[in-house]
Amino acid sequence: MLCGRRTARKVTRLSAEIAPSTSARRPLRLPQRVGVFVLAGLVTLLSLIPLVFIIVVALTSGWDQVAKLVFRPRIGELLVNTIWLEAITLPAASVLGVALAWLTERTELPGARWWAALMVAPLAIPAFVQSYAWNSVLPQLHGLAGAVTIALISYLPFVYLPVAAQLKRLDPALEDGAASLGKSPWAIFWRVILPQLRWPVCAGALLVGLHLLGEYGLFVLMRYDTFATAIVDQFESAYNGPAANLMGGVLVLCTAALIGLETMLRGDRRYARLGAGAARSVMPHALGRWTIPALALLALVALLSIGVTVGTLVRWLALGGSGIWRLDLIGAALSQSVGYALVGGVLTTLAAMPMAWLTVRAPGKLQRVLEAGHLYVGALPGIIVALALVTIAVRVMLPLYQTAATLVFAYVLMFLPRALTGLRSSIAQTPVELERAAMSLGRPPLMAVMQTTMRLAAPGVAASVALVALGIANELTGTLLLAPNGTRTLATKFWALTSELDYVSAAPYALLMIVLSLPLTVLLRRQADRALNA
Amino acid sequence: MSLLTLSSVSKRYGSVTALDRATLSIEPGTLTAIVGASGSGKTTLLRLVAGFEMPDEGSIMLEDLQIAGPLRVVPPHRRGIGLVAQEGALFPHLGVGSNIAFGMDDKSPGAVDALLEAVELDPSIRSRMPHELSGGQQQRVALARALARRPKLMLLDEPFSALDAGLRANMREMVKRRLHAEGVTGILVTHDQQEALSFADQLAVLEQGRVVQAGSPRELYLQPRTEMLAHFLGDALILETRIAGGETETPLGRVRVGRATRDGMAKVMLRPEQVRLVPWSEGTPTAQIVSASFEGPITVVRFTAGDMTFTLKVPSADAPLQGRASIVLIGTGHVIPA
Repeated sequence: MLCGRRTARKVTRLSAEIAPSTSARRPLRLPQRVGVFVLAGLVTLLSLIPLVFIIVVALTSGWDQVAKLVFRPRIGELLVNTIWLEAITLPAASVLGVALAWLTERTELPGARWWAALMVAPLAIPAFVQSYAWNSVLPQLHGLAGAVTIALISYLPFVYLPVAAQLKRLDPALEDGAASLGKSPWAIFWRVILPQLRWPVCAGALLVGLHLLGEYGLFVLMRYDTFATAIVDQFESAYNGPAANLMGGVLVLCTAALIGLETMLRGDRRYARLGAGAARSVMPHALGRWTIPALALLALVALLSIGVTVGTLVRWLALGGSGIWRLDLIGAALSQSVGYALVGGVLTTLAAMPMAWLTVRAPGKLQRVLEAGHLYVGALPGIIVALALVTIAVRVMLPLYQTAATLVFAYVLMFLPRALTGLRSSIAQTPVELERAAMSLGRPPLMAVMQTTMRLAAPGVAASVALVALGIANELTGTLLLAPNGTRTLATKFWALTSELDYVSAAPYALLMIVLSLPLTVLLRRQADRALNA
Repeated sequence: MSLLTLSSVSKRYGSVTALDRATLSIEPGTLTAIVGASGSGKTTLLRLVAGFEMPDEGSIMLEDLQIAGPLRVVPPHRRGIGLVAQEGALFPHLGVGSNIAFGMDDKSPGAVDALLEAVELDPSIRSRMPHELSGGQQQRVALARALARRPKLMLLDEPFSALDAGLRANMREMVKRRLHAEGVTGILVTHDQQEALSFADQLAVLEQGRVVQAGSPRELYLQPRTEMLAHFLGDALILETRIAGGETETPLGRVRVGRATRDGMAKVMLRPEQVRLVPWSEGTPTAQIVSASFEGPITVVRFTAGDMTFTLKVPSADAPLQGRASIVLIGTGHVIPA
């Protein structure tokens, strides 16, 4: 890498000497750069569709209809449900996430590395599969208690991951310094460590909060009504109805409120290590007589978040025997899932590429605006994207209604931010000098970018495709609403079987989704560690 | 009574012995520099004194209180020992004023300002955040923060290493002044022997986890106990020669080594500045110049004397460039005991 870079510099200098006599080739000047901006702008426009849809619905509905459909007890109920859900789950996830991360990263916990892996493992289990398992073990658990429990065990890694990554890179000299200033370990935790975890805790909690707003399957199985479940119900009874659309509008407002709250809480500073010296490895804290309670806590979390579901699946699989392995049906669902996942993964990554390149190579005002347009869809509940596309297809382009193309397009919008963040950091790691060198060696600009930056960013590109593909493989809500008739992915087939209460037959599908998602845990963990280093 | 006493302190990390029966005592009000190559155990020693590590064997006494050892272990925050880390370790989420007040009982702005002035910073810097300061300013704030608790002992963990050369000398002098003025005993860990020689009243050299020698910088420079130490503290000529009657004959001429030295073969150290080349005259030890390469203020002269070749840095103004020169030796030679 270093060697390549040095070569590049040398070549650049050489080209600079020749430049005056030949035609000066600068890296992607006009019009090529304009071309990239146009492509990124196009993607931004497409990703604005759901938001524009909601605004248009609100504006064209007329005040009477809005008043009738929004200001009614049902909406109030859903709002209260949503607030309860967020108000209990987010603080609990934050406290638990910090405690678990601190235990695995900063203490002499026996087997800390294994526990750390276990804390991330629930990422491989879709939340609706967790619900299904708990439902069959403990049918009494439902309503708010059930919703909070399942949400907590499913989404805890979203807080745990960034907090653990931040703890790993906190400068241990800060703790030493505070101790030498007379502070007890407890005071150091509150006054030095915790303030520096504010950013990752807020980021993680926001992610959990957004999932709570967008999740559908989990809450249906827990019989807890949220906007997402209500919208799907409404949609299924009368699709393209103003009731569902306006409920979508309220959901978008909830999303905006949540984001606003997080922005307020996290403040505008990310605390970085000062100075560039190599960090000394951290002295883990001795747990002493707290070792057993700490291990018990971790074991309990692991048991609840993985043990119950895996155990239930094993039980159903054993009960079902070979009879539930209908290889024809399972094979068809698997191939459809994989097909959609791969096509969606590749298309989403391609769509994110112009923006990722611009963000690294041409940062500026226009770039920031376009990027915001790419990123905001990530915060929108998937149900809104689906709702928008269904309505538009039905009203404007009926031939596109219930086609694979529409479904893939929905996936692209939903997972665009995921692809963008991964691509961005891997492009940022390749020096621009290489592009210049390639051009000085006679490559036309676009070719130069493809052969140097994109080539070197290939591992990042692959990771981005994989991350998106894995997300698509477990996507339920959008797929239920948009999939062409006869589509059977692992997620929808699983959902159909659980709806018929055929829990045994659903088990193989759940197992396959978990196995497919295992690489996701590794990828996300690596990304969390890197994101904080960037 | 010594302020700090380390008695046979050992510390192992797995199979690696970081500190091997290290023994050292430090008098109140003095500045001690601990030097050693990287991996010699100097940072471990500092961390043991601060209380971030526990010794496997031996004990550490602060005045007459055992702070680490078989009797008891005092946790770091109750030791009252100040620490300035390599890059300051300012809390990034707190402003300069809050950083300084972090460990203070009297948190009044006046007290903070007084400390800022003590480390020669403008009090207006109080409201800034750490990342808005230069490296030197960060180190000054870190020092003020540590001084605020009026520690008896201040540990300085390579605090100048991240600064550039001019700033480093400046900071070193300021820290020295400050510690003397407050009557604080200081321990500086550094790998820069020049810094150690000019900073400290006492020098302790670590080699593979052992304190090989401790004493005044002058003593260690002129009378090192090992050959390694002789080279570590500066350029050295080591000559193997036969001693008789407190004198020895070397290719560079006759050298006194002190009357107490036993007769027989020994290694004698001369610092290069003890060797002068002067215009040749009959009957003196002769240097045959092999080459002279000009490097500005000094010229590196290679010469043979007897059957040996030497390289010497000579002031350019009177460096012999070719032919021969007479060798004049200044002072006495030091017999290395080992």
